[in-house]
Amino acid sequence: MPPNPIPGGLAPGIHVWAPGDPTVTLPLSGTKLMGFDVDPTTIEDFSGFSAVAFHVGTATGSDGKTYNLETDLRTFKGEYVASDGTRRFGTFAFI
Amino acid sequence: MDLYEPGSGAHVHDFNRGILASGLFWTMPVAEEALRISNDGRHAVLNVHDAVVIDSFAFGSGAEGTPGTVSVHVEWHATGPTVERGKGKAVGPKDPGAFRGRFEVAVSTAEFTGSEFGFSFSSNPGVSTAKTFAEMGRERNGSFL
Repeated sequence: MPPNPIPGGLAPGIHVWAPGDPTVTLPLSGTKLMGFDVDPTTIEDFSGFSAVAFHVGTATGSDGKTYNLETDLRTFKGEYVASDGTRRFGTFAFI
Repeated sequence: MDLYEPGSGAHVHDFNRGILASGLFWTMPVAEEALRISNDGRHAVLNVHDAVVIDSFAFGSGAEGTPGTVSVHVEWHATGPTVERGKGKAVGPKDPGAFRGRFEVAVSTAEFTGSEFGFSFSSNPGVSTAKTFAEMGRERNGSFL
């Protein structure tokens, strides 16, 4: 059973925050990070490891072009309360 | 995972897991061994191979996505001291600070590949958070507060 989403978020239906140094604005999307006291996980009723990374770089496409690349990539591992109310353990990627 | 045209700056690919009906955002289960965390919690490696995603082309564009896959290899190395984060129950559950955690600022490097109908890509060396932000740590929210 999947976990539940955090109840808050950036906009209705967007249950995720942008944690990090508030002086940082991501160069391609223009996303401004919201501060250090901002929950990195997307999972409600969660206890465990969280990591977040906003990568920047380039990528080469099969069309031969060089693209600029930006990510919001996260991972979570720990205990959570699933949508059926049971307590579970899981590992997740946020891609 | 977003790709932008170098000339125009147009956002042309957005590979993501999508949103469940529950609202769970871009979050997918992976094998437990996909994420390795060092005993001191200051180094982590995520390896995911051929994860099923959609390419929604540009966030919020309203365009229909197309199925695709991505593979990721991501490393986090803590660079800063462990600090307390979050406001716990001092704020409402919809507040971004509605958690408690102990986190370290980190640097992260990564390698990516991805594909969808008629297009694939591979990241070039040097993809990192050196000019942006990464962090890692342990946290709890919701009923665990």
